[in-house]
Amino acid sequence: MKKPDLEAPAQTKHPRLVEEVFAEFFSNLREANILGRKQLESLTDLFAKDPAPKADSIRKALFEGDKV
Amino acid sequence: MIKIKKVSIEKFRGIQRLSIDLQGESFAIQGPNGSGKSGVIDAIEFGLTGTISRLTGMGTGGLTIRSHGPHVDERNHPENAKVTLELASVGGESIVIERKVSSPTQPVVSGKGAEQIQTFISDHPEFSLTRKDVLKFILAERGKRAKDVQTLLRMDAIDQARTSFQSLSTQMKRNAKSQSDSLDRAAKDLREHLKIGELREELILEAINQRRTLLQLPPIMKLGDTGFGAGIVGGKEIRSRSIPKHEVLQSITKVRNILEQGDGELTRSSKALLNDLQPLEKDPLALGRIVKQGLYETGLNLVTSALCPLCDTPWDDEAHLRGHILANIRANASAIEIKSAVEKSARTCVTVWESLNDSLSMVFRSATILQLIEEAETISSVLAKTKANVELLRNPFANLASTMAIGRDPLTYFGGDVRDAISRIYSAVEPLPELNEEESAKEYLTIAQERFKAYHASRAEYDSADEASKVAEELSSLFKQTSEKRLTALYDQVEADFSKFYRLLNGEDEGSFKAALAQVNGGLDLEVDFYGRGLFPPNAFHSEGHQDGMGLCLYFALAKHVLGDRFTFCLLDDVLMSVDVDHRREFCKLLKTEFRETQFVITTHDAVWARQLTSESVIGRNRMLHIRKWTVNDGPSLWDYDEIWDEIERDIKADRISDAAQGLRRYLEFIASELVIKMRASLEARPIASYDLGEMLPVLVGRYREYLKRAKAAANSWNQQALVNDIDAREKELSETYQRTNAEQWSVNAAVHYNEWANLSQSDFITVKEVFGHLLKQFKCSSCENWLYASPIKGNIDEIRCDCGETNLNLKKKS
Repeated sequence: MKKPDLEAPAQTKHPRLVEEVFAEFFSNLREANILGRKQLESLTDLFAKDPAPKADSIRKALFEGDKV
Repeated sequence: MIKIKKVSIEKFRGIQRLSIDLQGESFAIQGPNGSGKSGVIDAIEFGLTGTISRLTGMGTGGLTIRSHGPHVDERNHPENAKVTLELASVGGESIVIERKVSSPTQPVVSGKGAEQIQTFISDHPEFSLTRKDVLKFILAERGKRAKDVQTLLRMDAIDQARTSFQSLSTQMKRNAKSQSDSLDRAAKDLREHLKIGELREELILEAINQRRTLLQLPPIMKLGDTGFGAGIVGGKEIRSRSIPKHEVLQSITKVRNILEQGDGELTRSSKALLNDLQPLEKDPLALGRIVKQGLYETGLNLVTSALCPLCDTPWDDEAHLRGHILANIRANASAIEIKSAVEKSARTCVTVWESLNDSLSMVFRSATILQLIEEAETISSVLAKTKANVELLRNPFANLASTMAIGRDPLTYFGGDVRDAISRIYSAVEPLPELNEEESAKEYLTIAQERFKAYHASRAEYDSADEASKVAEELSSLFKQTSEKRLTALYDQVEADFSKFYRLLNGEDEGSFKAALAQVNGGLDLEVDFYGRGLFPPNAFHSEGHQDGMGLCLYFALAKHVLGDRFTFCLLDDVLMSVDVDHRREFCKLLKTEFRETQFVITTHDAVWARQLTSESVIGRNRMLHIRKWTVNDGPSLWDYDEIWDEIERDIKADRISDAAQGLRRYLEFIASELVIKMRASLEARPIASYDLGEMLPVLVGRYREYLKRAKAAANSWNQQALVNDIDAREKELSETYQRTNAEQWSVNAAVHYNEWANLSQSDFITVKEVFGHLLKQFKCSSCENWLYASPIKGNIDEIRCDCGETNLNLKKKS
């Protein structure tokens, strides 16, 4: 008998389509040159940790750090 | 690919102990309302996910799995409530999950494949669908439907991210607007001090250089290169030492006038404000209407797209959203009137108070320069209060009580100490010489530099906020475009399958049915064809039964496109209840043709629908659980032969003949209706398929006799004399037993036993029980004790047999 890691709520893993939407968004974002390198990294890190961050978390990631 | 082989439930919801053998195949649970069917669904869902949908969501406040998951008698012992699921994984390996209510997130798993289970659970859109769940996709508003569909498909992260980006954009726009207002104020301050109409570089430089020339300082050629006061000797000290005598004395006079004259500007404007505030005192609800009005007006100013800036609700387009907000504003005419009047008089008050503040500031600075410390402190204290008044008056509805207090007594802070302090300052300033032209120029340049710096800082902050606002808007727009493109592609495919599935269900009269599923500003619009008359919302013209069907078709279409061949399991809890028999048949075909690999667990209170699931081969033989009753002590009781017979035996022993008679009659009605199907006997068709025992038994026995006759003819054709003898014996026993039941049938007749049961003794009823027990045995295999059935289920009947094959009566003659 063993205890597998089934404790994470089911919602944390998303179907492939969700992952594809986010991948395409970040790809478009890179091409569009809307953000600086650090902003892009910061936003990517944020979404890697939480696929549905609050607006305030996005604001902090984008506008309270180094914008280079 | 995971399917459920076995479910064991203990002390969970309304179930004391129940074990169901599904063997990885579709399964049905039939029983009357309140018999514990949904408890089984809850148990499977809990076993897989650790949650129970029925205890979460709207209307379930205060319900928890820990408190309400266990059987009511075990509510203080959640550790005793548990569900064990045996699953068949890829390759046929068994995985067992045991989950207790006391620790729902910590199941004990044995067997290989924990990771597979995790994936299965995570990917699966929904385990348990009730009629309510199904209809929510059909009847919801478009915004809610989009959310529900995306939540169902575990795609809610997309909507959450879209909302977060949109909120960020709105937030940054508000911030940019606020910075823009600050910049306007800073520009106004600078313009007024420089006494120029516009902040153009040449006009600023002209005003500055005019004073610099007076001070014999070189002109500044470009803004930003040099400070306005550069070159002034002791420039920093100029402002602190100089007292513009004339202006200070004028300010003191102004303050005195305000304080001394009862009908001065301040008093008059305050009276007017108080008068305009009166309606709010009379009608306390008016303030709420005004606050809302302010919210609408702010919202209207912030509208830049079809998404409401206040609540992020998507609209058809920007014009509709604006129209909605404007309609709300117009509907509040009286509030607008009060609000406008109060705001107007408050603005007048602000002007007067600001003027007073300017004068007091000058008086305070003079007192400081003259080192009149006590007087300076008194004026400073008053200034803090009057400045606070200005802020209050700028937003008169934020703190209505304070606004009214200002209106009632504007001079409350100006006591004798203030007046005395002002008099002493006047006496100290009056003998001083006037500032000369040079000193005035130095003062001008010093203040100009301060205000220019403030303006410059404000400009930088606005630029930064404006840039951030544009970035946030672009991000929001890009995410919206990206997600909508992918979701639109998904919904197009779903739309095609949804229409196809629905046509399968309703092909006879809606063969050209089509649906339109489209994203509209983050919402999901659903319109369906109504007999070629156009596209309409699904609940506009279609019946409830059709809406039920649509809900399931939409769910299946979504699940198919998101999960594909991983859609292997689905719980349908009493769905399709408003769908008629013919459409249910088509529904069975849909399940069999489109979802062959999906294991369905279907509950229903409708015995006819349950039988239809078997006759249409959605569920196999012996894949049905019939619940006959439920009690709080025992939970669901099944139509189990041995259990029923034991119960009747107990009732007879306890001399409860009425209970025994009722129990026997109900069981006989149930099992006769089952045997009619198993033996493919035909009953007279009725709109409501309800038959009593007296109608079913003759048909059933007659049908069996026909089979025995055909079996004997077939055995003769094959020269199987031993079998012929065996069939003869069966025929004889069946006839004799049936005759005896005819004699005893009155004792289990529903109309009789309510009235005359008391006349039956224990020994009488033991005979009745034995006679019917013996009749039923004619329909069982003596070896495996399973019920006999006609085979195959459809088409020409070839044999009468049992599951073990020991009883097998061939009906086909030698050709």
